[in-house]
Amino acid sequence: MGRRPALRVALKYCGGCDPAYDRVEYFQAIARAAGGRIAWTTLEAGQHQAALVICGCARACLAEELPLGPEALWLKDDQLPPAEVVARLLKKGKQNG
Amino acid sequence: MDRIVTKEDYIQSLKDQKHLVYYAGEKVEDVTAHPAFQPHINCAAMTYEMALRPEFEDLATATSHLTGQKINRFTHIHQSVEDLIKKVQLLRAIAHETGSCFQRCVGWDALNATYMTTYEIDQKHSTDYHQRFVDYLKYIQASNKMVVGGMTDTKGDRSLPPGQQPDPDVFTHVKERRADGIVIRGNKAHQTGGVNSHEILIMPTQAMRPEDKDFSLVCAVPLSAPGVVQIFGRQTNDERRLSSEIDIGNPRFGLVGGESLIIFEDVFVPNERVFMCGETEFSGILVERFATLHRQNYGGCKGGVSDVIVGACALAAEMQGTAGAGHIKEKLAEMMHLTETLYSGSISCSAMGAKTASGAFYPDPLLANCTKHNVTRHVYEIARLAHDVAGGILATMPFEKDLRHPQIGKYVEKYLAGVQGVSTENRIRILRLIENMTGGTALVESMHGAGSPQTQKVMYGRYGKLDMKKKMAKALAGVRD
Repeated sequence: MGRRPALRVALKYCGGCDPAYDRVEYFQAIARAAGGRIAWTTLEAGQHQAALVICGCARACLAEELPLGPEALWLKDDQLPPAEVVARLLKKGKQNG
Repeated sequence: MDRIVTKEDYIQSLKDQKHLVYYAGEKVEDVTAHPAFQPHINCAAMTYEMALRPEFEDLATATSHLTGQKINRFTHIHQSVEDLIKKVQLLRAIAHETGSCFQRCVGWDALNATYMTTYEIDQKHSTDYHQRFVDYLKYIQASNKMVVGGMTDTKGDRSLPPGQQPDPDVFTHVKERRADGIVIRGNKAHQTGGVNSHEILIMPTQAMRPEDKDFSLVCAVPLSAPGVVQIFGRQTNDERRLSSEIDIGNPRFGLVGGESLIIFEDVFVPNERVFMCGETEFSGILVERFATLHRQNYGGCKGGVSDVIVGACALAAEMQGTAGAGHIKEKLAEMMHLTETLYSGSISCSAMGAKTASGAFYPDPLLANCTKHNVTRHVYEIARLAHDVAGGILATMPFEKDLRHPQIGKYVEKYLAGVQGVSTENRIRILRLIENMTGGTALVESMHGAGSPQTQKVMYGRYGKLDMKKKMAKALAGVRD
């Protein structure tokens, strides 16, 4: 039985004007928790199965700009444990085929 | 009356409701006929009048997200960042018309804070507070009634929590629970516009401990309900309203909001008007939301009021021949700088507002907090500069009665004259307006309205992101942990 291919997840950060937490540090923890289950890509590259949008605060400025649907997971703080973020992304990827 | 539309409707609605109000030790039969209250009523009426004026309609009205009907914006739940910005713009615009507090924002903020928080209480506890509140909100939007936001309890001994007060009534609380509702007892202090409102939306005054369930209360009560008593607060120079026009300074619209102490003496509240009862963990967030929404306002209304002060000072300078002096121009420019600084704070916290789980939008709490904190300083500085520009005459002018006096009136006319062609009466009117807007109660309101400075400083600890700031400094300095 072969290994399941990694889920392609597009990563997008907000502009980071005055974030309430270290977005990059948080993403690195998420990436570590995901291990080989997620292949990180960008929105511009296309063909992603899910998207992770990391906003630095509740304002979530990107929400007005990005035409993303249910495939996207929006984070506005670092309160969700990285493993839970990964679980939600995998679920979204599964739902999007 | 099904719906209050005009100023006349509003005044009639106040006459009809027969609420119990005391002024200077006397029961007031009709607040609309009493000179102590008429300026405040005129101010609040402006929120109705401007909704009918096409030049203000865009700001003063909104479309209800509940019914799709056109409503007064003071009953609207903010649905976007644009709504948050329009709120601030509206407050500045009304302040230009009144030069004083028009009171209705307090209830508006209470409506929005309660809307957001009841939604979250229901999510956690499977209660039906939010639906009850939506029904109440529909009633307020349809009737266009004025709601006072009941936040501040008198609190007795501040070192003791509510449940340990010798007299628990210093915090509003549930005294009795019945199948069909609750009976409440207590008080709300500094209630802006209380004597000329229709309803009070009671909220907890602070974060509550788990054992203070009876004090974690949100409910709506008509101010005409049995057991509700209001005692009106004194203001600086309030007796001038009884005997003069010019000496009042702003005769039509008075001074700040008109605050009362509202007492609840075993008031029954039916279940459909109870929106939180015992969910102590939501008290803190409700208070914070109300405070943030209210602090958002201050650069709008105080910005607008300060515009009037700047205009009055410029006129005073022209009337007394000092307008060309460099230091006067500089002071006026400084006053405008401070005014626009206040306004920009309110706009910025609105622009950085975010959507809550309920769908309602909410200003950035740190920036809103900072705006109000600036008001505790800048309004005082604006007033200081106004006193400087206007001159000592501000504090020594004779009575209006002296100006009108058959024998000595000519002396007032002659010796208080300024630039040729300007009437002495007009000069006195402008100076009295400045006096009214820059002293006593008006300043205290800027200090403590929407929370005292210390309550704002607390918020920097909560939202100031100190850890991030330290991280920035460490990175630049090359500090390694």
